[in-house]
Amino acid sequence: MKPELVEKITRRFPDVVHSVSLDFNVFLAGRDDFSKLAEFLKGEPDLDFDHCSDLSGVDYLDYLEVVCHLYSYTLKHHVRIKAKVTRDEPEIASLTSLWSTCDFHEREAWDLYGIVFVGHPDLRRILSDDDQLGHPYRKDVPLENDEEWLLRDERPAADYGLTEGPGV
Amino acid sequence: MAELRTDEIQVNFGPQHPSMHGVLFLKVTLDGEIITNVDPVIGYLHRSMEKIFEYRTYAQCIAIIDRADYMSAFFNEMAFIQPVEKLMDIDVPERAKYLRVMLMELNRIQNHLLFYGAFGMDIGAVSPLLYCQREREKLFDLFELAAGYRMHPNYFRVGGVKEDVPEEFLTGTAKFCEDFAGWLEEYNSLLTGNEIFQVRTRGVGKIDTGWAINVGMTGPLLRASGFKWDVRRGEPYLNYDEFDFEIPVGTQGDVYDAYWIRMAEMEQSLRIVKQALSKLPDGPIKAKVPLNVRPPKGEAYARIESPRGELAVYLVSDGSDKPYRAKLRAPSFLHIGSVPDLLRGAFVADAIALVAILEPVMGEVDR
Repeated sequence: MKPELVEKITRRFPDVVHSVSLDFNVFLAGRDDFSKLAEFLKGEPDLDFDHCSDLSGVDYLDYLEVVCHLYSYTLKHHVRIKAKVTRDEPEIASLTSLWSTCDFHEREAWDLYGIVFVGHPDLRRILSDDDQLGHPYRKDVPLENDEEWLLRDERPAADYGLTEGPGV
Repeated sequence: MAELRTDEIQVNFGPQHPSMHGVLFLKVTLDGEIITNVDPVIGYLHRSMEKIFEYRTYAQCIAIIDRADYMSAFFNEMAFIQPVEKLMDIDVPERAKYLRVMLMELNRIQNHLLFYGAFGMDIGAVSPLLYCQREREKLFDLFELAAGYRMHPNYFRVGGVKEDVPEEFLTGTAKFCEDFAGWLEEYNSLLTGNEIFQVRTRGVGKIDTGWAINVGMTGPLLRASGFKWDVRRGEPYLNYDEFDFEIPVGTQGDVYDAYWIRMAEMEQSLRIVKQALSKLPDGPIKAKVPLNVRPPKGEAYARIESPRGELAVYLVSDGSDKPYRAKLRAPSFLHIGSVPDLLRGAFVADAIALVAILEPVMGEVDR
């Protein structure tokens, strides 16, 4: 990406932190700026990021991160945008209205990391079971079944669609 | 005459259905013969691959990622290794690059052959599957000569490949290249020109470029819509810029175009293999890298052109010998995401053909 474009973005969003990681320009946005930044990147003719290549969640223990990789087919440049969300309130605006490919990406990030995408039309589990406990890719979830961890499940049986049987 | 009233019904298509590619489950809502809505249900093959990576060393991860897209294992390995090499700034020796290209392109032919067979079967022609397996066996034999395994080779290493190929692999590949042009002709005469096949595929479905980009379609499907994009040309990795090959592009964006592109790509892959074979240099096959690598702290994203589309890995390293996070951007996963839009309004009889051109491999969808 050209330096003047980087400057254009940082001038428009003064709170966004710019850094360079290998061949990628990285923009770390605040929670409120994230979707506005994405909209700006897609809408501006000299940026024109028409392809959302990837969106994923990462767990850094103190906070969660949403990482999105964008590419422009017309201008042949790419960018990585990120946003931090807290573990207690992992909410961020959905990007589905910009790129409909984010539908599955966001469902996956919700399923595995518990990141809530506000404005997503149909946010439900995608890869794991409907009665999966918690969000399995978070770092505090053990890799293998851990009895102590499983016992933390305090949801009522009705959450599993059970009306009778043990625990009701 | 009284107006004919129809009720919407819901049909469960899969997960165990003979014409379904793996354990894909589509909840299809039908109004008469027209599909009004589809809800893809996936996750039957979810193995928490990305979570397992965080507990394994990089060398172990390569063996696991083979199982993601089990039809094109070499591509998975390459996709995983590329960000590691980027982070560590490794210069891969020329011979290793050529061997990687050669094996990946042979793998592409193998994968497209299975598509040819399976697609024929879905449309109603059984014999293509028998013909394509004949040549796939020959390719598996070549993979076995090079890597020691047929389907899950575990052959690429960070900085090169596991070991040098034996002489029989090179002569075998040359022999395969010689014979394959004739076989390709046979395939085309068996299926491509068939009138029933043409009627079932031409004008069925419509992949529009703008829509395809928006829903994240990549690879042969995006090219079928007439959009000329290939990561091998657009963002060359390894030494693809040294090879002379073309990118087949469709015009109509229908099922036939998506099929034809795969057939044309086999021809181009064959060209690349032939060039790699004639130019294969001598020299080391692996850079001086320990087996247990520790990439520096940082993150990398790199993509390759797999037979299904854009395959990428987002790697976060914390400096240890295990990845902190490795996210696989699987093309099939996003192609399944496009199914509701693609199938809405289509006839139920065309649903099979439309799902078949997506060529989803559930190992990659569910990871």
